Order: sequence, then C-alpha cells, then structure tokens
Amino acid sequence: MNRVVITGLGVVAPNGVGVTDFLAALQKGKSGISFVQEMKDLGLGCNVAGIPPFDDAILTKYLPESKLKGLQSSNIKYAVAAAMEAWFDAGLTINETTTDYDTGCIIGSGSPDITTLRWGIKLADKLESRRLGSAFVEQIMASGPSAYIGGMLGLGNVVTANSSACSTGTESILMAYNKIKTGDAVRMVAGSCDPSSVYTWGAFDAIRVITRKHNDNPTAASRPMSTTASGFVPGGGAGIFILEDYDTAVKRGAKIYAEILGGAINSGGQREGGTMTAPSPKGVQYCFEKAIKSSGISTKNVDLVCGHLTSTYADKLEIQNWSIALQRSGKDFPYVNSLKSLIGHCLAAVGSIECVAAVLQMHHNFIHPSINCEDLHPGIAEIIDPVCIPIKKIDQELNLVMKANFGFGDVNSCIVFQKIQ
Amino acid sequence: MNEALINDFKQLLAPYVKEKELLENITAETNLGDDLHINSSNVVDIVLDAETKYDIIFEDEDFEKLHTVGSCIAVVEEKLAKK
Repeated sequence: MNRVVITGLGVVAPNGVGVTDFLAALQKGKSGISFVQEMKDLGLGCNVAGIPPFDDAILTKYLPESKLKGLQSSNIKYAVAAAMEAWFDAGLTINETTTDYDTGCIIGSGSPDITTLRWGIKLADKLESRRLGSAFVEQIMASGPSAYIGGMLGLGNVVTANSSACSTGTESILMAYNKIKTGDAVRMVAGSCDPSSVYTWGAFDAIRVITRKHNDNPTAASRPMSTTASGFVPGGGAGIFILEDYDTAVKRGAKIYAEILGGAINSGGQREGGTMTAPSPKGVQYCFEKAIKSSGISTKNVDLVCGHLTSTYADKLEIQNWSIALQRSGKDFPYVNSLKSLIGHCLAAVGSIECVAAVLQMHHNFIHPSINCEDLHPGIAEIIDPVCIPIKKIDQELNLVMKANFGFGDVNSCIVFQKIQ
Repeated sequence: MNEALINDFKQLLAPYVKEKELLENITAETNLGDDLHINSSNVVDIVLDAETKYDIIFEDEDFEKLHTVGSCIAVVEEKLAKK
C-alpha cells in the first residue's frame, strides 16, 4: 500500500479566497458571514450567509474567453479557481498536448448551481430552450466541476464527482486517497464545491435548520457549541487538495503539507436514532472508530479535532460521540474547534474547506479560534473542559489532527492527518 | 462577399477563437473548425449571438450549412433579405 501525502492546497472560502488570505483569516479569527439582501428580498427567515469575496477576473488566468462567456455557476467557478491554485501550489505544470493517465480528480458538490438552473428553466418555460447555449449542460451535470478541471489539466485517470450532502468534501478526499493508496493513481485532485445560491439556502430555510435570530448581527450568527446556537448559517465555496503518492512527491522534491494516515466513510443507515437529517450516534462512533483503526493511531496522541459542529442542537451529540470514540473527556480531551464559526456551513463544500483549514493549522502550528461560544453549551461543558475550545488563536505544535463531517442521508466521513514524519 | 458582414463575423467569432491572430485574414473560405479551431459545440453559441445581432432565427437546416465564414454569411444574408 502506498503512503499518501498532500502537496497542494486551494481554497475559496467566505472569509478568504486563496490560501494566503484564508490562512490570515484563520489566524485572526475573521468571520466571513454577512447580511444578504437577496435573502431578505425573497422573504427568507435567515438573511445571513457566507459568500466568498470572489472576483471572476481570477478565472481569466485559467479559462479561455469561449468558456468564460457562458459560465454562470458559482460552484464551478470556485472549484476551478481552487483547483488551479492547488495544482500550481503543488509545483505542477499543465501539458497542453498530452494526457496524464496517472492523475485523476474527484470533485463533489451537493447540487449544480440552482440559480443557473433557474435561469435555464425560465428560458425553457418561455419556450426558448434553444437559447440555452453550449455551456448549460456542462453546468447542470453533477460532474460539471470535475469535467471542467479534468479538461483544463489534461487528466486521464478517473475524473468524476461524488455527492453525499455535507459529508461530500471529506468523502472526496478519502476516495482519492484510496485510489493512490491502492496504486490505481499516482496523483489526485480532490475536494468539493457548492454554489452561493439563495435558492438552495431557501430550501434549508424552509425546514428551519438555518438561524433566523442574527440577521442584525451576522458575525454572531454561526455559534457552534454555544448555548444560544439556533441553527447553521449557509454558505458556498470550494476546497481542493492535490494528493500524491509519497515516493513520487519526494522524488520530485515537492513540498509536503501532511500525510493522510487513514479514514472512514459510512452511514448510520437511518436506523438506531439516525434519520434523513440527523446522524445515528452509533453510526458516527463506528465511523470514528474505523478511522482510528485504519490509521493505526493511538487516540491519546490526537492533538486537535476539527469538528463538523454546525451551530445546532446536534453539536453536543457530536462532542459526546468524539469523547466516546477517543475515550477522552474533561481536560484530557484534545483541542476542538469549528471552522463553521467563521465561515458558516458551506454545505457540500464545507468538508474540503475544513480539511484545508485542518492541514494549514497543523502545517503552521496554530489552532484557529472557534468564535461565538463564550456561552458554551452546559451539555458540552459536562463532557469536555472549556479550555479545550480555543476562543482565541493558540500557537501550538500539532502532529495529529482528526476531522469529520456528517451529511443528510445519515452519512459520515472521518479523516486523520499527520505531520510528515 | 459583403465586407461589412465579414468584419461583423470577425467580432462574432472572436470569443470562440483562442488564437486571435487567426482572425486577422479571414475570408469567405475560412473554415470554422479546420482554420479557426472553433469547438463544434460553440457553433450553437455563434448562432445565438448572430440571431441577437441581426434579429433573425436560424432554422434546423441552416445549422448544416455553417462550415465556413462564407456559408455563415450566406445564411445571414438570406435571412436579412427576407425581412
């Protein structure tokens, strides 16, 4: 089995576009949540979201005019920008003429950009579907992002998309990890994206899982682990990794951010407490335990848990599940933080953005603040000591980080990152 | 061939031509695919752009004629004459 390492990072997040800005935002504890007039105009209860400060001009570096002309979907724009950043960050170049059969990509998303879809449906309803143009199909394909990126980079291994709601990002990285581990690919572009579409967010508003209580104070809206958490804050973005076989990375002198030691993907089966929208505790614990076993780690060595922790009642349940799986509690619990406190819940994009954050924290030896939980939920305080949750940035040597995500459909993913030894 | 229409087409085709220098000396005989390396899927976009510019509608059978700058212009001229 091959060792798998991370050699490139790319990110489009609500609090920073590009790794440099994103890292600075993490270190400062900068929130990317803002008031969104369009959500108010649609009469949504929640009027705040995490929208990346994305400038389309960045795409002119990567895409020809013919492609840019018809491209509307924010998820594809985010994925393209993040993937190209990651590719060049890994010190790789683009061969315009030949195909690289050793490299593939798995880029997931929750859905196509519903705002783009709406544009097309409106044309079709006006009996003008012939005016959709050549770029509509590729933007409503679930595999749109991977199809764009595969073509731009000339990838000849698997080029596909995964989709597992809010577990998508971590899942895509683990799927790519397995491809390299088994020798099926040498290098993989992996990650996820989700659009900034008020029409997607409206659907979450309708089932009352996003907060309605902080429209006048957006940066306080996403409150993972807080007593006053009242639902998550939606968002969009993308996070992309370049994963590589360790020997190949060393041979070409690549910068190595971290090694993926292992992980697990599973489902609670919507049984035993699990439903379409809530994870089965047993399923989550089984996922964590499987990830620990596959990585061969001792749980006492885990330095940081980058939680899913969405700012809902389920945060307490998650902490409980971690505590059971790690067999650690009180002051002995590792540090734990939630990136969602800073960027909201970027749905299918969030797992990969959080994985980028996890790796950056380990690479730069710090723990980003988990904001808005000054009023820690008492149920969480019963399980772990408040000192485990950094309200301010902590400079700390980190060697072993665990990260998990859960999604609608009762699906789970958990990944283990280690500093290269 | 109508010089003004050739110049119009130069602009219409430009977004779909990666190597802009190829546009400099286009003639009626210039082939969209072979000479300008325009992706065949972009022909539908060029048609939509032309329809908007001239306020005309291309019929299904017109699509089969769109191989060279000259054959495109011929379709446009035919539509304009009928207006």
